[in-house]
Amino acid sequence: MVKKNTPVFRFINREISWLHFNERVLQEAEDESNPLIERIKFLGIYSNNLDEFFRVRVATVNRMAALNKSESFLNYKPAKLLKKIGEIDALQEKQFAACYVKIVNSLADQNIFIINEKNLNTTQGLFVRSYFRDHVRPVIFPLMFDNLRGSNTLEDNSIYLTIVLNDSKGIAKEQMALIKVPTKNPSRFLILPSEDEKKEILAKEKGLSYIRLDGSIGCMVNGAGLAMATMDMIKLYGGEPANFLDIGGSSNPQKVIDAMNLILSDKNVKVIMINIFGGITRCDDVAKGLIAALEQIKIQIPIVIRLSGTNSKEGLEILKSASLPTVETMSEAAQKAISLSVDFLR
Amino acid sequence: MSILVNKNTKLLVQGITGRDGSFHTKKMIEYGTNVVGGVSPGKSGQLVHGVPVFNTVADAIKSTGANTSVIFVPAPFAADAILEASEAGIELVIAISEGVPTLDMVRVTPYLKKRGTKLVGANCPGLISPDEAMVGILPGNIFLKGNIGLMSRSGTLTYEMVYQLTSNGLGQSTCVGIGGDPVAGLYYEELLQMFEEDPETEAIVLIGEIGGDAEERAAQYIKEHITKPVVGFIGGLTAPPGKRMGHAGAIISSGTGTGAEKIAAFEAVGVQVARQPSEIPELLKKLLKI
Repeated sequence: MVKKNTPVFRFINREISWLHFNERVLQEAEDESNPLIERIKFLGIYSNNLDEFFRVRVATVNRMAALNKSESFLNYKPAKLLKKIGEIDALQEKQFAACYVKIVNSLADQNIFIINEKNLNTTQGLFVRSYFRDHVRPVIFPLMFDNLRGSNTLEDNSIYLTIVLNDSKGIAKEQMALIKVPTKNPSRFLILPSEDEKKEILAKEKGLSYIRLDGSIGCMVNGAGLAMATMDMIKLYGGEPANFLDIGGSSNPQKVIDAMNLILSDKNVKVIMINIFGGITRCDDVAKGLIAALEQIKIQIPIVIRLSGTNSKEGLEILKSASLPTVETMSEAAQKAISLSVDFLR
Repeated sequence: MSILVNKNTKLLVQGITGRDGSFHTKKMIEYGTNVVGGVSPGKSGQLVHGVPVFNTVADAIKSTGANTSVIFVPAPFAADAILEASEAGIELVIAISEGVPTLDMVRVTPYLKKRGTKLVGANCPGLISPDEAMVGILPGNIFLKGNIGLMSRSGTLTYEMVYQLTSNGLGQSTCVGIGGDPVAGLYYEELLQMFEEDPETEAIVLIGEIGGDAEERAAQYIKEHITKPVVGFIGGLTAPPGKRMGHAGAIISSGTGTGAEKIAAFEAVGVQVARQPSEIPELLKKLLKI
């Protein structure tokens, strides 16, 4: 029997009810009978919902708590409700974390890897750093705490990270700041470069312009236009170029060594075709670089060299004294490279 | 005759005291170019290969009467150097520097147009009127005086083509490397017009590459304004889409700028396109009935 005069509140508080609803979403993410992609989406929905819940509903309860209204007026005590929300949220976060780990592992089984900054290798690090510099840094602005007092720069419905800024040289003192998290652009996921793209990035760091293709004739050319024409020429005579490689307009012997290593890292390469027409790149430097490179790396495959232009006489003499064979024209070089690649296959 | 540079060219070298500036100044003098002075701020009074160095372009013009300037300064400062040359009254500026920011060129090109200063480049090998003047980094020994006008977006590919022409006895009136950047000075249309008006030029070779629509526009221009025979070549037919082939401008983006489209545009207006550099001399000989 219900006692007379005792107020009985028959409803579940709406905030608590909402948290249970969101838990239901999490259950869908946990359900292994759902397709993996759907489970990731449920995880995203759960997380997004919760962000909004804290931004809007919890913010209101916080303001109620600050007003200190009596329990009889609201039917609940805001401070107590906040505590309850905190407890439920803590439990759900544990559930979320466990589910997240499971899903990330299942993704790994499908060859999709979600990694953090500590798992990056050197090339990926370079890529992420330049992505940050070009695409992320321009859209984030630290708001210094000192400048925030009495200003209205903080927006509702936004997410901020609190960060500590320190000076690596230790001159300026530590400062606190806020960064508004960009939610639309850039994307929250960054696809890391593939093996081929990695090579292209490393090559760029060394001043080489490299693009991997599927053929068997490795090309090393000075100048982008001539490099393209060399590829076209190989194709025209029925061969397949293994790469586009422009060693650029300078004449640094180290570049030739780097370029050689780059070409040889591609196991499909059966012949190397070097096509140099010297303008700003001096042929004698190219020849010296070639000889230095050949001393450093043991090359098991044939090389076809074509050298012409600035200081070509000196360059050809250097190659001749090192008994490296040369041909006169580009089409000769292409045809010889193709026939050598075919011989090699036999 | 020839276009842009000749015996009357009085050349300044901006950035003459640098490694490349100094090396190529020597080569230009050896070729017979009238190099009258160099500019390197703070180095006035020095001599580089016997050429006097000045602090500013204005000083250099006052002392030497220079009318043409070639830019060897590092890319971040190239735009300023080009503007300084134009401001001081230079008529033709050739910018060799590679890697000049596109936004700098967007700022520079309309200004020069307004002032009436002609610009070649940036990121180009320069230009040459054989036996008269060579401005830039071209290997002078491969050129031969004659009647073919040549323009190209690429440096080393230009040398390859010239090598083919010269070894077949086809000399050149002027060869111009217009550079591989997306925003540059003189382009196909202006040069086609100059070659059309040059009495010494009998036929024109246009060497293009993938990316952009400059070759398509050139084809249209040839159809409407050019009466002299034109032969074309397009580099990068085997380039995969979406990849920048060395030159900033050489990219097939969203399926446009392919070599096949450019060849089709040329052939549609009756311009014959060589499939490899060595075909160029044969096509020219047929057109000129040699």
